[in-house]
Amino acid sequence: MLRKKLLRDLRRNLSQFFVIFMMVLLSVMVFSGVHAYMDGMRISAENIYDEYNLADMWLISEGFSEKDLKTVLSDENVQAANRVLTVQTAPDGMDDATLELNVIEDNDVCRMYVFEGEAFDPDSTDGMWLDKEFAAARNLKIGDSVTVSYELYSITAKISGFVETPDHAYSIKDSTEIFPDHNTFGYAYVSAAALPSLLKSFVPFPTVIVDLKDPELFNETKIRLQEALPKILAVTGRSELASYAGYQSEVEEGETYSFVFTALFLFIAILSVITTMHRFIRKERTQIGVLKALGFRRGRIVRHYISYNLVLSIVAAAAGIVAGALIIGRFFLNMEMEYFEMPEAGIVLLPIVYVVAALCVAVIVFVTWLSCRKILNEPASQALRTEVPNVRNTNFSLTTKGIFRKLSTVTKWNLRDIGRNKGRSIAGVVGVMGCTMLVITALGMFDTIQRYLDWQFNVLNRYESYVVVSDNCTDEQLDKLLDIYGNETSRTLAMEVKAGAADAEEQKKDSSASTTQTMLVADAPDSLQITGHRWEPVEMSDDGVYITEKLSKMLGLKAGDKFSWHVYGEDSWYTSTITGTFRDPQNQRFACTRGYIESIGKEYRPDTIYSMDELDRTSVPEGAEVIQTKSGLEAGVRSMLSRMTSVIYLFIAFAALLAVVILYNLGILSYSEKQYQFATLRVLGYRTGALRKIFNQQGRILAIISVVLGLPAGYWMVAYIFEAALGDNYDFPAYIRPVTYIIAGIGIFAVSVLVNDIMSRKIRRIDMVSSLKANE
Amino acid sequence: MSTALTLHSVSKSYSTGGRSFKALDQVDLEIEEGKLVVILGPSGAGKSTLLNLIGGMDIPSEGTIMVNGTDISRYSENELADYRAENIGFIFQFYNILPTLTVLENVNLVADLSKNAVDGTRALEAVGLGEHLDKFPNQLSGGEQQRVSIARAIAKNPALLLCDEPTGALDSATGVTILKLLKEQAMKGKTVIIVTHNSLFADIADVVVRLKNGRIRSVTNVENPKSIDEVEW
Repeated sequence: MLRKKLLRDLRRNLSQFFVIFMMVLLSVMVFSGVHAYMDGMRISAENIYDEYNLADMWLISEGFSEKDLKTVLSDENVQAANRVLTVQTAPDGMDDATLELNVIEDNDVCRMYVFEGEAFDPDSTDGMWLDKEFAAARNLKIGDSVTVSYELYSITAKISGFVETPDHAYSIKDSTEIFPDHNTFGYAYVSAAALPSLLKSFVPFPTVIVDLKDPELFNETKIRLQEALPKILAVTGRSELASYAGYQSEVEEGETYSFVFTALFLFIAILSVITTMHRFIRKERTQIGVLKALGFRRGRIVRHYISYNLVLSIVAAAAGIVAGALIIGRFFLNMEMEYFEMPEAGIVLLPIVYVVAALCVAVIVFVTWLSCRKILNEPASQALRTEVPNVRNTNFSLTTKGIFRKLSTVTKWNLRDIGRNKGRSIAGVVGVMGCTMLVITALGMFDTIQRYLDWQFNVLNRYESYVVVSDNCTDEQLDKLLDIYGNETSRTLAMEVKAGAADAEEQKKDSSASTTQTMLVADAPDSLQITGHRWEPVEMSDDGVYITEKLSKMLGLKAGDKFSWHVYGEDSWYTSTITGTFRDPQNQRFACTRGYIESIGKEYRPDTIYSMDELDRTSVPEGAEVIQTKSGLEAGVRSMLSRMTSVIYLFIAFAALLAVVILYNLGILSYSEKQYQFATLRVLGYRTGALRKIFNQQGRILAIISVVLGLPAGYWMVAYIFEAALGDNYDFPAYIRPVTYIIAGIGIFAVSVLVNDIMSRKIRRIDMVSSLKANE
Repeated sequence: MSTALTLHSVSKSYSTGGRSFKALDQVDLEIEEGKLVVILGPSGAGKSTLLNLIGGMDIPSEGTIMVNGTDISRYSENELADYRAENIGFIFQFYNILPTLTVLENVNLVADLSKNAVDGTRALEAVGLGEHLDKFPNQLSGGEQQRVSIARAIAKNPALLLCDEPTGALDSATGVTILKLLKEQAMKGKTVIIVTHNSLFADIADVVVRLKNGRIRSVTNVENPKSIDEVEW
């Protein structure tokens, strides 16, 4: 019988219980959705890394011979190793594209996942295994011929397979790119057998990729290999691989917002439960008394009232798990897979999702019990009597003093009503604040990236194009390149840095405290600029080395500190002083002038030449490896931004819907609580319009508070997302344009006013007589 | 003495659950200014319905209600609101004062509505609450809250004071105080209409209207009403 009562009560109080349902659904849905794609990405990657042998170690030298490879393979902890030559090539007929060509002899490590075509054949003289996404973006088919050019050489091969490899999950051209653009950059594999016969015997393989038996013994293996092969210039692990690190940081990004949004929705759900159940139970007080008088045990009545939200939250949590995985999970996974290349990526629901869903249900049930227990514990005789209002010291006295005295009576009444109904008010404020935060987050992400574009492409990098000088470039070729493109140049040094010890000499001796870093040596005052904390230009002096703010925190180095370093492949160690700090959005590194490098006795040889002209990317001269234009780089980011727009619209629509649901529910609660007071005021002679104004004023006060709190919360969220979600290499300060705050604030405020206005129309329908009688 | 209001053939029907019933049936009544009128009757007699119609909280299904020569039964919603604001002071059984406004603010709330409003402080002093202006309702006893309700009603300086069981929620001693205040208002020239099921009220009234089943059974003009202290409450 009580079950029928439950169903009828749920139907009668549909809107209030619907909000509880929605909030539990949303909190579980966000958690489930984000974890479904995040865990899906992580587990797919773990499986692919494992099954397709992602290398554990990368050995770099000027060239590894077959004998060197055998030496590597003979190490006790080496499972497999392959030599690789990687060059950036320009594919014929694809003007703005760059194809990373990997020449390999075998494919035991970083094995190809073949989607279509044949498996890799080491003996193939004309086969090419092409990045599946690049092929799709360029509409290439199996059997098509692709000609790539590198310096003086060109190779023509037929596409034998569309592949993805575990070391190219996050495939970007270089550190100037953040988001993969499959249309302009891809990768391909050819067998060494496919190289022109002249080259075959001279192929320098500068990289050996190594699969370790026990990756935990990385350091020991590294030391042994360095001792066995002194030619090794650098040894890096997975964490230094941009693909691996970029993918991992994206997976971790989900953790950031899944927690925040789950907690936000659960908090609103809890507040909704408190306000709804408190009001509902008070309304049911006499019925509770009757049930008790009839002989129902307290435990059964408690279970009955708890079952409202138990049933509701179980259904909501179950729906949240499914809808989260299928809607949010799939949506984000598909979006992520536009950037990342991970075969077999799918959504996954791990036990943690069910545990969190169960916890949400438990929290709701517990809060329901807390909200009801006082009335449920009353003896039957008391519950059957009219409730006597609790006379206690009022906490409204503040509003009778000071500036409050000057407020209108209606404003004072509204302020006190807000204070009197704290649960409802807080639920409303938090709800609308959350919506404002969502909108600000969505728009703020857009603003931050726009600002990054401005910073990166207008402030820091003022060139139009740059030419990457080939490693094999002769002095004559370099002089010629400088003649053509000018003297604005830079060089990036890959170096081992020791910054842990207090003294530079100690640092050199300390074998454990080294990190791999890069240093930009700039000789391009017109093309490159470094900027300080607030984008102010920093003029580098020839006295020392500059460090990005983020790296300075990571290494514990500040202005005036000394550190030791050497360039990989060179034995000379240098001790430098940090002269100042700067900020860079996507490269955390050191920087110095050519003058400084030369002052410490190092030769300066540029690896990049900048030009103020938009160069033709297809005509790469001798001695140059690739030509890159700023507009090409910018276009890649802008295309990603345009794809992000749909997510932003989704966020905004979701926030608006949430605002409507929350405000509507709270409006109903607010209205029903005030109904008798409005009935009284109508009896006293207040017109409907005047009462609507009073009702709307309270809604506006709460909306203003919510929006004012929501705007900085939105900023905080954007900052948190960009700080926590992006990898260590990035430094994206959150930026939100004032106009964004205004648009978001006005938008949410307008939704709030609209919902309030709709609610206030109910005042016209107040039946004065029955409202006043009902109060009795 | 002039007529405060006249009801002519007033009926009020309600429909619930598809069935219609008459709460008031062809009621004719004329009330003079400055009288204390007590409307008596058992539950369901139509007392509150009559009070609601006089107070402009509801409109009759049939008939006319003339106040100052105007038929308020033809008024629009806003006209009724203005009528209540200018002419009617309501006193309810459960006070219906706003819990989030102070005593003075509760009274001043109506000051904006009426052109003839009197100062809220004076109205409260008149009911003996001059010391409690800044208190909130939950800091007052039931009798004090009802006095706030009376002060709020008289602050508008209305022609009619309508009281629905004004002492119903009070103990007898407090009830006596409240009745004295209402009687005082009648003596000052206001028409006070009290709806009650307590027949003792008949002893203090100038006019007693008895209702049963929606019809007026009798209208009695009392020549020499008793003083409130004379009645055994």
